Amino acid sequence: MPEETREKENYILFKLMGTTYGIKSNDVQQMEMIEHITPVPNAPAFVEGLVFLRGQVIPAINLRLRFGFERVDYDIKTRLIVVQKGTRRVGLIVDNAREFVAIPKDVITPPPEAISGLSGEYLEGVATLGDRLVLILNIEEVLNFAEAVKPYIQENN
Amino acid sequence: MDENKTDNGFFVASEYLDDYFAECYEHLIVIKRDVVTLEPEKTPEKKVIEELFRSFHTIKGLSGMVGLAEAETLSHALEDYFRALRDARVTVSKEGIDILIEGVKLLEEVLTAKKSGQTPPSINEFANKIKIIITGQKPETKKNQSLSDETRQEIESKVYEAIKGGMNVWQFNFVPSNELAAKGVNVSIVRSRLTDLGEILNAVPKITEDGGVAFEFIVATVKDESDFKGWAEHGLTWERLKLTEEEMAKSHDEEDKGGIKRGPERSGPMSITNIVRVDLKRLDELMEMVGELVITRARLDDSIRRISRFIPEKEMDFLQETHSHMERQLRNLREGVMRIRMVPIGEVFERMQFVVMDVAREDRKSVKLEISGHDTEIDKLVVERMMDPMLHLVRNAVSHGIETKEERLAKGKPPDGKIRLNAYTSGDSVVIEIEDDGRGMDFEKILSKARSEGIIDGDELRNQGQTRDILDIICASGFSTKEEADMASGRGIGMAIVKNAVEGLNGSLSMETEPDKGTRFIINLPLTLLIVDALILASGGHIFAIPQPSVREVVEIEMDRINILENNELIIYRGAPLPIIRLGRVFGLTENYGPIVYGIILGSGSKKVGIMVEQMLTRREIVVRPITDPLVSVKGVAGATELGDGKPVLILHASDLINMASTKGGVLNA
Repeated sequence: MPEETREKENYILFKLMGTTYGIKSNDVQQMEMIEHITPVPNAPAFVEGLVFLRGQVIPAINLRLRFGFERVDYDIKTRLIVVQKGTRRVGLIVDNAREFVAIPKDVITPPPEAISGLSGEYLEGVATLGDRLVLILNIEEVLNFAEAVKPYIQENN
Repeated sequence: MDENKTDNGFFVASEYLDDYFAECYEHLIVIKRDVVTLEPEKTPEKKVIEELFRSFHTIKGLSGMVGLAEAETLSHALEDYFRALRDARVTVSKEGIDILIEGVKLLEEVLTAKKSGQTPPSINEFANKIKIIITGQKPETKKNQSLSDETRQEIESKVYEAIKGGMNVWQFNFVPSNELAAKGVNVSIVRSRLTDLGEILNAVPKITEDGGVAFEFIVATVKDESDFKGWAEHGLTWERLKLTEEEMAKSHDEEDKGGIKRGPERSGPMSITNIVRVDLKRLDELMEMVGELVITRARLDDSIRRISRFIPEKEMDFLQETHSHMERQLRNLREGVMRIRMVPIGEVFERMQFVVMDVAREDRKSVKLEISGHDTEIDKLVVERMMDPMLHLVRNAVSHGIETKEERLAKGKPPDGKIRLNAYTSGDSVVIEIEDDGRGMDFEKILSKARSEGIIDGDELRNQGQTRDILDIICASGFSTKEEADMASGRGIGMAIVKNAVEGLNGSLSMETEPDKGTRFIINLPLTLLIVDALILASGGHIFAIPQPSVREVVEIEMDRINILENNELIIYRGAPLPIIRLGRVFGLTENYGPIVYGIILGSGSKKVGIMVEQMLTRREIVVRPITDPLVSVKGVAGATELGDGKPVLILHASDLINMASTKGGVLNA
């Protein structure tokens, strides 16, 4: 198929634990360096706290913790990717984020059924770019409150 | 998108529908305000009838445009009634007023149903009833009413045009007689004289009271009275026509008949054409931008301080001066944006008038409503959230507060009950008072009811109890003093919700009551939700803000004077034990207390509690940012703010903290 006629979509690529993930660039509002984050007591553990963004207060999620990985200190490459879904605006803290790529639709396949555990639910698909694998995230699932907070609900009530 | 499908099968974009509903509700406010001024067997002011007629007319037109048949039919029927009133075909009767109130309620129900996508109530029965009212009464003949509406409006608009064009308009009356005819003065002579004088806008024959014939001419002319002074001998009388403000506005209205019309008129110098309707969301966005600017300014301030030692003094002075200018301008900008959000509370008060009338009618009581402080301005959002609480307080005042006529007379009170609504600005807050001159609160009855319902323990508040405690009790959920659930108290919300709503807005509710004198509720609200005075405190390595209106007092506590009772910490506060809860415990923070700590006293009555914190820092005006995302909506946090450095600071939620403190297991044993 000639390159120009392939249907493509733009993605922001970021890294977490050395793995590359992609989010539709339409869902991404902006990217920021990590500035001050105010912790919110009694919030789920993967919620790092609140950040100010264009006069609005939004929650910042540590994606490592959300996916069940260990926490690392922020460094110069740490980024806050601000995603917007409906009326919700949430910041995702990732190890680094630099790339903006157009991914042809036909290289994205559904997640292999063998992928189990937490990550399965918010994986929308897997894209193969040359020798790289990009895990495409379903942002709605990542932000899904009920699923994300399940372990905390009993604790706080 | 199905709910936007109209009766005609058209799809109306939801933004137009929003406009439509907004427009209709504005007219309903005017309608309700006017309907309550109608009294049986009294001729209402012409202006009122006109205004009501026009409001229904507009709703009819708008409803037709968006295809809401029920609303259209209903407002048409109501419009007809006012047309009949205007043409004096009917008079205002008791039945008429009742059916009018019913109609307005029905119209509101139809709109609400449509708005929420539900099936509107049936209107057929009502349409028949009002038809009977309009046609069933004997038409009263009145002179001068033979003109049809259209002609009358046409003439009025001609008169309006002429006066607008700088002409004088006179109404001449000519009563022909044999004597005059003998002198050669007849109607055609008069007509030709008037034609010479100016332009005859209208000429009609009329029947005089004694059965004779007269002629009425309306003439527009540039000449003045001296030119026709002598005509008085020839059977002519005249009168100069002037338009009232309302008529001017009305004629104006006729011009753009059919088009979308503006909202309710306000008296005073504010001209209608100068009002812009803005989506509240846009103001929020504007406020956000101002907020960002505030943060940027704080950063600039920081940088200036840091570089100051590298800059020559003279340059530095200049920079500082510019900077403080900017600070001042920013403050003005912020205030300006706030002010746009402010609306007069009068609109809410006007709605109450209708409620009073409605509930009084159902309860067969006679109640007069007095309103003052109409123009007091308050944040739009605050007004909206206060609507339901005020409705409830007013309904309560009518159905529980005010006695029946007989009871009142027996007590030597005037037979008509009185409810007073008042609003005024006091410093940074707005005070709303709802007062009745009814029976007052029966403390004994309330206490015994509270005991039987298990709201208080048997030995708690054994004696009379304080007004504050009584208020707490009636605000406890599930409390109602009236045995039978009547229409008014059975529906809507309880005092619990009134209190929650007020406190949710960082306001406070208090009460004064005296047996047989009446009860007064006093609601104290911040001028705006966005800016509030707050106490800034530090504990467990974090900074928090707490809105000052919700704080009773801050006390210094010596650590070694805290008494420990099992899991509770208590201090003596004003001669009584008061539980103290460590903020760190509620929030899971590690605190480091010195020998002196601070207790923030919150709540009232038996629900009083002290929140213990390490340090009180300062008092500041803060910009409140709501926290809406479910991930961070936690109990005890009302929102966030920043203190100039762009770092979010959590705002504590007083009533949450009180509740968290009283659920023992959740806090002390955590």
